[in-house]
Amino acid sequence: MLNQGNSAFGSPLVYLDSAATSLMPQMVIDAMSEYEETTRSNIHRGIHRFAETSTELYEEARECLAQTIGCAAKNVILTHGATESINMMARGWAANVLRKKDVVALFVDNHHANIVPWQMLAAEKGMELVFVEIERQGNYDELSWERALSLKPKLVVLPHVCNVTGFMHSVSNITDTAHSVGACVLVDCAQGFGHVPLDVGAWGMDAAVGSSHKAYGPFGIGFLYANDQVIDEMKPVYGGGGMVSMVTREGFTAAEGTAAFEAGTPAVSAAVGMKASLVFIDGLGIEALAAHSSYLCDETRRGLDLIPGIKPLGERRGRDSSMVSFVSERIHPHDIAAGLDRRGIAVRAGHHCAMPLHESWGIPATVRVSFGVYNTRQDVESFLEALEEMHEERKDGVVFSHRK
Amino acid sequence: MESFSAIGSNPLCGDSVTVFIDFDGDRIVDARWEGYGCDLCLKSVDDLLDEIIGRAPREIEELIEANKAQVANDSDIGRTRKKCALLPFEAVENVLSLHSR
Repeated sequence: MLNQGNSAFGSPLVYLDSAATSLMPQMVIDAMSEYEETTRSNIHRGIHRFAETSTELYEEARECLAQTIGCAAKNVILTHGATESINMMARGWAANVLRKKDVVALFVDNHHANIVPWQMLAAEKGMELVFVEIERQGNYDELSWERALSLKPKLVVLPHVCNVTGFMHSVSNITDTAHSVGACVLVDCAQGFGHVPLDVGAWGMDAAVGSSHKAYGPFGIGFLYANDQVIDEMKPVYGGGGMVSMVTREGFTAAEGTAAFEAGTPAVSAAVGMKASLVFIDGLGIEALAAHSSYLCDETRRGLDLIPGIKPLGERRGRDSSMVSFVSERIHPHDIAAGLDRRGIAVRAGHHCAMPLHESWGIPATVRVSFGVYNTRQDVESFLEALEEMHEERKDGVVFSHRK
Repeated sequence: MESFSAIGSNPLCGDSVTVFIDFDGDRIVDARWEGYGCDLCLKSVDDLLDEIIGRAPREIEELIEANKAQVANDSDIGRTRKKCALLPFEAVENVLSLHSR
């Protein structure tokens, strides 16, 4: 794991940016190192023992992931991450199934990764995009949702956990309602995966995506969960080795099942790391991880409420996952992040790849603190003390300024 | 006397600076600004407007090029924040463009 003595400023590192990427436990790093040193080989392509073992390890990672998210391995496509997974849904499924004028309903608190691919496809295919508005406390606006449903959308796309507010949507209820008007549901689980319980089978969504690097795993691997119907309707997006059963001069026959969507050599070492991270999460218990993060969110909100000029986004209603965002009346988010960095505290400032949400609330940028299993109450205290000190120094500060 | 205003903005962080510049013929006689930005951005606009008063557009273009190179090579300003320091230059360049029409 990133060394906590790694701060360049003499004090121990306080890493509060796990929503951007979580740190990797030593056992995950060790698992990947061991694989690289003892087993490294390509998969599904060799007879020798290393190829056999690598193939087994890769498929074990898929099985382990399927078990973690509550589905069968045959419904898990391994990708390079959530963004690629969403683009695969857009290009492989929606481009073949949706027609001109079909409505796609997008929650406005989606990450850009779950907005832009749909804008790109709509520009080509003529689908209509409708946004579902989000209230200040983080949940969807009822009227806006009803209006979207009245348009009989063919697809609803939403985040499980908003990457700005940290609000957890009731995916199961939303899916039931969307299904009742005939819509498919795609859920971006990138922010909740590894931090709060996730059960794609029980919740009933048609497709879901996630990335390992936000869940104590390595960069470069993620998943697209697709139910049987979606997999049947999907066409391969990438052509290449591994995704075919036969190739002739005239053409090719795609492989059956998820293999058809996994062209080329995959990130085998990352798959080994991802499995180790899932074992790590399972060992601690996802409920315990969620409770820990939720407690740290509570403590953060409690402290932020006491600092004049600070306004946290959203409201604590038992639906915070692992992050809290806020704005300051006195200090620009970049200056808060830079000031905290000088004190050895890493947070994220900006729009967090959620410009439509920020725009709808009239906020240009926010500061986000986000937690992982390694964070402690002391980390929250250090952050709050530093923020309070910075605010005290800027008692008369304003973020909108001028010179006449 | 002619007055022009223009905006420099960075949608990625929401920063937006509007500069108001008064020309007397080919000389800048006054410059003001208003906007939302981080310390780096607002200091940059303050310093830049101080420097341009009394100068002609051609001199300012040279000044901006020199300042851009300075920001690009400034190791104290990280890659992601260079845009903050450069934002006011964009606004002033936009004004010069309006003035030259």
